[in-house]
Amino acid sequence: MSGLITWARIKSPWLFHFNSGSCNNCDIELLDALTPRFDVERFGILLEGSPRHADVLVVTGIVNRQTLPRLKRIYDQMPNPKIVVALGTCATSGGIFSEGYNIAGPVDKVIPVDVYIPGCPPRPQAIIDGIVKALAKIQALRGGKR
Amino acid sequence: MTKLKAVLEGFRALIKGPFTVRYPFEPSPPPETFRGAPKRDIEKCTACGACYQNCPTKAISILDLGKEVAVDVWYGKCIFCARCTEVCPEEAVKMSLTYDLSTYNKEEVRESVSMPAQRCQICGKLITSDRQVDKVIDRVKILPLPLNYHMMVSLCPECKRKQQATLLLGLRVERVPAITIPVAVSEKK
Amino acid sequence: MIDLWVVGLSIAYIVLIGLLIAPNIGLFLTWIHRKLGARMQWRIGPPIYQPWADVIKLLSKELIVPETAHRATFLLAPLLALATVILAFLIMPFVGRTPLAFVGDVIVVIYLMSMPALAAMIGGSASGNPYAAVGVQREMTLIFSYELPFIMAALVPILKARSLKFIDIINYQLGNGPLVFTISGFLAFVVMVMVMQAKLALPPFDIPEAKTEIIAGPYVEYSGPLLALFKLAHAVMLLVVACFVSNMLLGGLIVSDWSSYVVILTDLLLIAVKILVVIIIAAFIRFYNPRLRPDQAFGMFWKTITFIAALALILSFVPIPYF
Repeated sequence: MSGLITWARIKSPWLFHFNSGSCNNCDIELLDALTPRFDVERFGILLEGSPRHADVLVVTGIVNRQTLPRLKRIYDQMPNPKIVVALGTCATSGGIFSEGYNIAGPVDKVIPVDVYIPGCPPRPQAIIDGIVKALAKIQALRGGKR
Repeated sequence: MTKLKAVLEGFRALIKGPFTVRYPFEPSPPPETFRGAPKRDIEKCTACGACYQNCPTKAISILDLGKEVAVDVWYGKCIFCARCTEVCPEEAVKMSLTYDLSTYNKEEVRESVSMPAQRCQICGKLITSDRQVDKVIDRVKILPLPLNYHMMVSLCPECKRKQQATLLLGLRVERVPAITIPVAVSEKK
Repeated sequence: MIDLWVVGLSIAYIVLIGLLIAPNIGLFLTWIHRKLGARMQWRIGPPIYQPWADVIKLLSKELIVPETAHRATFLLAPLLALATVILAFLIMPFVGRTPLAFVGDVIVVIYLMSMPALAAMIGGSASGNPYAAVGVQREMTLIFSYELPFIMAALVPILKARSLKFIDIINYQLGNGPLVFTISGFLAFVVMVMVMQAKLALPPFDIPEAKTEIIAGPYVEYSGPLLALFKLAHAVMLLVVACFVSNMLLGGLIVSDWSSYVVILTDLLLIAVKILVVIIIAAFIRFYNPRLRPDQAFGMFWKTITFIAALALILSFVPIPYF
């Protein structure tokens, strides 16, 4: 039974995309992945509008002070089990904005992150690669934590 | 009229089949001039530090590992701007076509190139790599050099200044009042 | 006194057909929509097990009831949606069963088919979210606009067959040919297709659940198993609407003569073709049109579609064949 549930979780990851202060390049590349050229819907990925419907949170941008409480609230609103993907160099480590005066740190200082996808911006193929790694992590956990 | 064209386009798409690149089951190579992860040629790199000084995010760091000096690029901080490629005097850095760098642990996407280090013979501080010293000697050997140049080349700036002052003044002095210009070539790890 | 075996048989009937067959066929029809839409957009589209994976994944997630929600109503609304839709499927004739043929079952099915939208409204109001309130208001606007033309179009087969039972309508069509090949029947079919898009909340009428405008509308606070029930209700609603239109206008979904194998085979094939025709028409309209504004949809239903439905109704009184 847990094998069936793990299979269903791998075959149907629904994304929620949150931009916490990015230059929008990574957002454009993420939306590029939904276009007919790269078509992530063949993996069952849908872009959802409400955080309560999604189980993968994709965060772009470095978290600034204004988006910090909002990011935390969205992370809390998502039902378990959930996976967080940090998309782009800014979300991984801050990139060129890491010395700013209004920066509340890269994403893993705010919420726990599962997969990092470096790139400025990462190609849609790199995003697909990262999502596949995230799904492999669900497979490895097999109904474990979170 | 445009609605009719849209309907015909839909039928054409149904007949001709999808246009998708089935990555990751099909390879999808980027174009030739794509700026992927910067890769260093270990034969050519001399750990001179030009890339470190020019990196906008300080993703490159020069590490002091005792007998070796390493040039370490952290792809988690790299913005793939190719400045290191532009300023490298030995043309050792090339932007490769690698783009799939996703990882579970962000600290492990690094590339490290290490080579034997040249330490100061008096105080032991790291100067640069062996190869950089060889290259410098190679380039200046057509000039008339003092006979003790090989010794001078293996000293750090402070010790070199002290030795030179000693030789100039001809006496052994304890301290040389000098205006020390800080030269941040390397970082101690 | 009701015998125990009658009770047992009816429970078995409800469970086997209602809970096992109807959702599976409905999920298959949602897959057809997604795959067809993807192929029309030069994409590949999801594999065939996708809707089942979606539902199982949603059933295994955590259930969150927000603080501002009225708990009982919040939990009961998706059950209401699914139960009414399955009941509507069970009442209609489908491949050789006509169990509950009573006078007025058409009216009961029409009434039950408006319940999923109402259940979405109830659930949306119960969740206490301002986005849900906006979604509920938009859904109410839509319901007000399409109910009148729907009733008028549904009256056309009733008037032609002079009866309120599905069986009589189907027998009339077996005798005189499917009603869609008459003028009034064809106009009623056009009206019903338009109203079907609005009932299923598909573009161009997906005003209640407009992802880019109001973040999932009434369903915004639903997560996990409750959302799975809503998705199942949507899937079975596809099947119910297809069956309704087929039964009323396309000639019925029953096997006419169980004695001859040839007739059984051709009738089963025709049943599949009729349901698929309705679904594919809905898919084409869905993928070729952008979303309408609420006031545009309201105007379109009250002006154009009601006019066409009135025309169909008037023409259906004319006793000439093919009218």
